[in-house]
Amino acid sequence: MSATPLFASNDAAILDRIRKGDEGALVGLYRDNRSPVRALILRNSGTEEDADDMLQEALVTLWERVRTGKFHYSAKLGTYVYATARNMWLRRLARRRREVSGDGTDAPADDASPLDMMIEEEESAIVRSALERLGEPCRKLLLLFYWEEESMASIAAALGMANADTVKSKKYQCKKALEALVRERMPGND
Amino acid sequence: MTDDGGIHFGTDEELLSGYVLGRLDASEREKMDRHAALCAPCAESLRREMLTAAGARRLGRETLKADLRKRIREADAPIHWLRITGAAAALCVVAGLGAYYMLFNRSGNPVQSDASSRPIGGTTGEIAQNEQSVPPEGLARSGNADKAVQAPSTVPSPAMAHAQSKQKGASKTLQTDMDNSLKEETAAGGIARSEGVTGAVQEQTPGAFWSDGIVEQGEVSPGAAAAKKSIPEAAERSLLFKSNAAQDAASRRKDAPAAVQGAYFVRQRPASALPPERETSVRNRMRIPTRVEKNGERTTLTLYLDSLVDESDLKRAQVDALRDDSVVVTIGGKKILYRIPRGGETQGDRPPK
Repeated sequence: MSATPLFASNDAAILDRIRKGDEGALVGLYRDNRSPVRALILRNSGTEEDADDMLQEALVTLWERVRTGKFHYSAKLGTYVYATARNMWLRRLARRRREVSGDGTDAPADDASPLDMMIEEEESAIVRSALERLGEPCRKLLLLFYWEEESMASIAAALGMANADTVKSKKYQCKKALEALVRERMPGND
Repeated sequence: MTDDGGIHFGTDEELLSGYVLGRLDASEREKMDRHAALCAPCAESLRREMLTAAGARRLGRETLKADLRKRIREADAPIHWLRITGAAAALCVVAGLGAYYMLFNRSGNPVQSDASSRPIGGTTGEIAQNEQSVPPEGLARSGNADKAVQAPSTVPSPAMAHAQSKQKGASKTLQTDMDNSLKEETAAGGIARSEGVTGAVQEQTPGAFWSDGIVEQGEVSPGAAAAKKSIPEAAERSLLFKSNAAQDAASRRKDAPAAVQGAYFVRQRPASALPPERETSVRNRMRIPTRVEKNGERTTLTLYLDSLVDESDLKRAQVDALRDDSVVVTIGGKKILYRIPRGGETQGDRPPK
């Protein structure tokens, strides 16, 4: 039994845990929202796998927004997660419909073309794969900078580097190393 | 400076990352966009920067998702084990108690709900606000037990009948029993106190209904403010009545608010034990699904909590009247509002079949 008297609403504590980088905070949110998100997605042409995937995506989005300081508390976390999962699912359904129809005519006019999107998707997958092969601390540094959007000073503290200038210089080297790995994999560079 | 009024940012790390991370103001972005349209090397640098950021986000998200899936699997595993253990323990307790009462009856001694027949475990897992006025043995004497006493002698003793019904309930509602934690079942699983614990017995209890407790947050947050609005009286009105042992006499006065007449018992169960219908329809972070069982002057509130409350807090729980049809349960400094209408079962929603 938990010794902490946590009632249903402990959003502040969850947000605090996320800010501190405690991934375990997402597990409770996942459990709380699993049933409603599943019900929603099963009602809307999805499977349980789709539902779990959307819920995980929504939680990762929450994590990103909180960690990067872009999250503004305007509704209960459960509501936020549910709404995010719902919107993501609706977007995915719309994309599927476009793919089936093949013409993309229902895409908003200012959207990138399906071909552009495909190319971007493929290229980002190559960069992702190159990042995975990149050794430490480069991978960690680039993730902290581009994904967690941490400041140079925070990254210096996290990676035990002397100061922000050291991080800047290391980041430049890491990007060069990454570019070399990406170049190996990009089409036409074989 | 270039002809278009921009600058060659192709090697400016700060501008490039500022652009992709959205840290530039609109005019700076516009300048870069304008320049990139005319400067191929700068456009290429910007494209690479965007790809690096997209790849990093992708890796970050996928890694976090994988970690989350792993954590969920790990977190689910011990619960599954605990549920099975809980079910096994519950069956053992039921079987043991059944055998005990069978033996006791054969010895020729009448089965009485006195102190000797009271189960071990005291008030663990539940608290009695009026333990002096309605002692634990009183529970067995009231309600089902009384009816059983009036039955023909060929009918098993009340306690035995109860044990059998619980045993039957246990087999019929294995899933419900599986959801009971080991601690809860063993501590509160005595004959006198176990009525209403299993799903099967609960559904047959007259005067039982569901009520969603609204949590008034103690901490300052937007959620707390929202919750407070929904129970304005809690902040402004002095509580009319305290249903504790010392004021028991007052609780029986005719002018006492109907909501708190009689004895109140508060107990808890894990939210995982909620019937699926309730889980999908009422659970959210500001409400606590609660089973209310009214039996004569005794009202039992079973709170279904995501995180079980510490026993010491549960024992100190307090039930106060807010209005004639509402009570506030205070546990561990948190206040939870309930509507307990007169003849609640007619106004509350019916239990699931």
